[in-house]
Amino acid sequence: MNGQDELHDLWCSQPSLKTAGGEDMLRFVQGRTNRFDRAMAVRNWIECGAAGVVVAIFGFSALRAEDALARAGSFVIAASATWIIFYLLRYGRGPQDVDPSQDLRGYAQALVNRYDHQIKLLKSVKYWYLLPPYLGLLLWTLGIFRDKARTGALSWSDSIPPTIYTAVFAAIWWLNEVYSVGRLRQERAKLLAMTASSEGRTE
Amino acid sequence: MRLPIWKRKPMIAEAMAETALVSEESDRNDVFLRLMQQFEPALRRLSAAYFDREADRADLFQEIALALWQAIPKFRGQSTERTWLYRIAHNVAISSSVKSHRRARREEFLSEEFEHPSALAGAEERLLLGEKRRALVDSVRRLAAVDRQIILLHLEGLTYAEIEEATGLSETAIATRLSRIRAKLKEEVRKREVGTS
Repeated sequence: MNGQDELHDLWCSQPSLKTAGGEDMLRFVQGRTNRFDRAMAVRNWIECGAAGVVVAIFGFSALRAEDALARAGSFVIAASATWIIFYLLRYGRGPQDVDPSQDLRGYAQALVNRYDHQIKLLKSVKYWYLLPPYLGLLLWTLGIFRDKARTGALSWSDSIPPTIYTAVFAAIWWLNEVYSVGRLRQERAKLLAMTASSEGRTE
Repeated sequence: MRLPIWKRKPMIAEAMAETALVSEESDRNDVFLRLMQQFEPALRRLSAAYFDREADRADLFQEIALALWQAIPKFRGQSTERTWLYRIAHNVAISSSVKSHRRARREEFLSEEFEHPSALAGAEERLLLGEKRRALVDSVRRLAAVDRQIILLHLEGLTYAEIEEATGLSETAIATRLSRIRAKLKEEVRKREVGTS
């Protein structure tokens, strides 16, 4: 090797392999951006629609239920679903992308901050996203049980719905707080390891 | 304070009008096409320095292209176009590496059918050149992110001042690191050369 020039020549002698062509790439990025926007909008509207149905059903139940516990539970569920609709409409696009035109240290720091924010958010999901509707459902179920007990219609099969929704809520909690947080922590650690060496800054 | 939604769009339009690169959507497309034409080979080489699998490299190249397209309206000419582009490309590559849970798999780096047309006629010389290139790329891939960024910018022909602008490191630090990295890369390539011949 004769030094940098030969390294440079060696580097630049890499075959370009398949080039996409600017026009194709332009179509690709435009298409992907549009698809992403559409997918986010569709997802948000589906979730909003589902939450709207929940608001309608439990709002009606809150007005009509005879048992006070069932009424309170229905009201809490309807209020929780309304909050979810508001949250999706306001923050439905997820976290803002980190500006990639910064230098490496600034970018790495911004990514770490975003990871920390996402981890904090996911760890708090149980309080602001899961607990209110779950408590509402529990209250509503207790109200139904009490009502049925009054008429002697309560049976063991009534325990199936609460078991199912408890399992669903537990699964959502696990996905957020165990699986997703664990993955984000791994990525954060990998990022820190990759960008650890950064002495000699100009500032 | 968060602005109401009806006030946001005019502000974005005003911000776009101040940019050095584009003021309208058609300008944005033109700039993107020009950047792709000018830098696609360099960006593909950069992708190869982060992933060994062809599919992963193609994914990374697409992610870089997407990030560039999204960043064009925000470019304000605070750095040269070239350093701005390389900053984005490297940062996207780092993000992509961090998120990548792809299985590390050894793959032939270069297919002989795409071999660069060169003056080398002999198969033995071509093989040797291919091995040296593979050694260089493998060694670059094993470097820490900062070192990888510095050497890639250097190999793509950026000056120390441009590398300083792209990385935020001082020129002295860049020179010191480059000297160390170059020596290491040369040694790795030489070892492969000796092993092959």
